[in-house]
This record gives sequence, C-alpha cells and structure tokens, in this order.
Amino acid sequence: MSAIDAKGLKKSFGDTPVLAGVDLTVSPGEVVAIIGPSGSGKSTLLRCLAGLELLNAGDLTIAGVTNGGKVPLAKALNGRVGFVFQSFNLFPHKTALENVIEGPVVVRKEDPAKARTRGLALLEKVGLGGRADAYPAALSGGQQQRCAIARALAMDPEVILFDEPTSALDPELVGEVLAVIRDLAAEKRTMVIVTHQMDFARDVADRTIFMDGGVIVEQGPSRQLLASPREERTRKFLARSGVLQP
Amino acid sequence: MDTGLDLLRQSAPLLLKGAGYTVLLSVIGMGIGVVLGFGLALMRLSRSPLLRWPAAVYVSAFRGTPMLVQLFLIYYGLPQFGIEMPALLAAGIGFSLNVAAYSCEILRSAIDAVDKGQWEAASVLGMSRGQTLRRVILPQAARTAVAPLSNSFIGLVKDTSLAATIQVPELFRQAQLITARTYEIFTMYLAAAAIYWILSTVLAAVQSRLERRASEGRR
Repeated sequence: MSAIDAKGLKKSFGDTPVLAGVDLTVSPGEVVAIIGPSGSGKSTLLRCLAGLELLNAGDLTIAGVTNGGKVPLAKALNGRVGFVFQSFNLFPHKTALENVIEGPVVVRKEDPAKARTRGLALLEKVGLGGRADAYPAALSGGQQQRCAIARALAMDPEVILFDEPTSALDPELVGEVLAVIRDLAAEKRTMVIVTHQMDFARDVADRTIFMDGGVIVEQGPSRQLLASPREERTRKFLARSGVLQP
Repeated sequence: MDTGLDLLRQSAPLLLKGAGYTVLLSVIGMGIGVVLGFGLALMRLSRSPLLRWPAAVYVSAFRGTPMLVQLFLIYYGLPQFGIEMPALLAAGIGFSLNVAAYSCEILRSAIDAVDKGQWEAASVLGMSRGQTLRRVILPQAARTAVAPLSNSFIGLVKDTSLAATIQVPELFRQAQLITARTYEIFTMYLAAAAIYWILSTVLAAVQSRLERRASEGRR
C-alpha cells in the first residue's frame, strides 16, 4: 500500500486556484523532493497532505487515513504525518525536551518518564543532546529546526513532510539541518521535502517533482530530472536556479 | 496645621476602613471580571455566530456606556423590577460586568496575537482545539495580557470611587462623610488621593514583577 495516494487534488484561495488537479503517489520508504518557483503550489500541496488546509476537490489517503472532505485531516491523522515548518514553530514557552515530548504525552498519553527517555534519545540523534533544557529562544535557527525534527519524530510518523526546512536559516546553518534529513533518508523513512536546495534534492531524493502553476509539470528520478528535463518549463526553471546552463 | 494633623489621626481608622472596601471591590471586580471576560473571549473566538454575536453585543454595550450609569441601573433601576440588593453587592456586580467587557477584548486580542504557526504545530501533533488552547496558546497569550490587565486593575482601583454615589462606604465616600462633618475639605480629599496613589503604586510594582516572571527564559 502507498504511504500517500492523492488523486485530482484541487485547492483555491478565494478565486485564485493554487492546486489545479494534482496526482501524487508515494511508496513507503521513498524520499520525494518537490521543486518549483514560488507560488507554484508546492507548499500548499504539502499543507493539504498534512491536513492543515481543506481540499476543494480530490481524493487523498495518507498514512492509512482517508480525507473525509468536510474538515481538515490533521486531528484524524493524530500525529502519524509529521510536518516540519519553514519557521520551526517550536513552542517558545517549553524547553527543547518539553517540545519533543508534548505530542507523545498529551496526544498519545505516553508515560511522561518513558517519553522523556525517548525524547532525550531523539535530541541526541539530531545533535542536541546537551540542549534538552534550553528554551527555543536560546537555540540557533539550525538547532531549533533540528529540535522541530525531533518533535516530529517523537510521534513515530509514517510520513514526514518538510516545508522548505532550510529557507529561514542563515547559510552556514543549512548544512547541519540537511545532514539530519540525510540521516533520516538513510533509515528509509518516507519523506516529502519541498526545497530550493537542488544539490540536496539530487543527492537525497529518490524522485524529484517539478511543480508550476498548481500542477505537476514533470517528475522522475532526481538525477535524471535535474540533469536532463524533458519539459521546457522545467529546463527554464533549472537554468534560472543555476542547475543547468542556460 | 495642628488641627489638620489631629484630624488626620482621628480619621485614619475611617479612611483605612474605606480603603479596605476599595481593595475588596477592586479584587472582586477584577477577579470575577477576568473570569467572565475569559468566557466572553472564548465566545468571541468561537466558530459559531450564536456564541460570537451575544459576546460582541455585550462588550459593545458595557464598553459603550458609562460605569456610573451602569451602577445606577443596577442599584436604583433594578428595584423597580423587584430586584433589590445591598449597595456593596450592586457595586461588586457592576464592576465585575464592566471589567468583563474590557478584559474580554484584552484576552481576545492576546490570543489572536499568538502566531498562527503555533496552532498548526499543535495540530500536526494531533492536539485538539482545547488541548492547543490550554497548553500552547494561553500560556503565550497570558504574557501579552499581563500588562493591559494590570492597567485595567489600576484603573479599576480608582473607578471604585464611583461606588460612593450608591452609598458604598469605600475610601472616597469616607472622605466625603468626614469632610461634611469637619469642613477640612482639602486635607481629607488629599489624604484620600494619597491612599489611592499608594494602592496604585503597589499594584504597578506587582505588575512589573509579574511581567518579569512571565518573560523569564523565553523569547
């Protein structure tokens, strides 16, 4: 069974169509990168998958939950789809560890002592072993994003969605966050990553999708798509991004 | 001058008793008012217009009419419909209802001011609306609300002097009564003013301590 199975997803904000019929299937263990110009609908697609936005039309099954259509899916997913935001969105009044165990303890009713042990291990895993008691304000952007990844991992998600996870970071902090995502890819976790980091997409994603104007223009194995796209629109975008010679 | 000081010494117990009522009314008005205001704020933030509308009308009415008129309606107006109550109770109710309207708006805007990303982060963890409000939104909104709520409280301490008009023996009323007996007008009202000032100053100090506590260890 697919981890994500989406057919004909449509979404508009007011009169502006943002997704104009998107089909997407992602297999368990697959890492998919979504690239495209800003306003192409890639973040909206990701937010629809996570149940943060209400779809106007289309069928969506993700992590075994099917979109009922009436209400956003997020509550029904119960944390089974992790989401990593561009702006981290850590809870500022909670320490790094408290951020990580919030979901397990409050939503899954996990024993707090056990959740703490597991949370500390997750912080260790993302390289924040020593900062468990630090508040987000005391962490760098890269550390905050790694903490946010640990928070998503704490729910044992079947799929993790990353919405431009490094776009809000200073250039010298991008690497540490990408390294953590790279490790997750090596563990064969199912992930969909909206990114502007073309090198990263090429190295880490099994498949890359190019979106423009609310539709998937082209997709294929990352190396192939980034080196020799079939579509003119993809070629132009990659040239503008400095991946291809114009 | 001697007589002025003597008079102050003699009237001190009455003034302090009045100040006691002032503090009592302030604490009751604020305590009940904030609780009611929180309920109203939740109504105003609700998805249902059946909850939103009554709260909006309530806030508009109680912010849009003078507190003095509200007190008169409760104490002198309601007995026409057979609802009579002691002055102290009438004042307590009046102040609570009035504070509720103002704190509703303070709390609503504080909740609104919390970044939408916080709701989303809680939602992808599977938290319900109630859990999100309680564990994520309110702790952050409380920080924003401390300063304006304290301002309201300090304002209320002074506004309780309006209760003098419905015969509540609070600080200003005591000063009035003593003045009527002794004709030491300036001295007595100055003494009352000084006590109000002291009360407000103490509250302002508590406010800044609360604000410092609220921002400890955070952004």
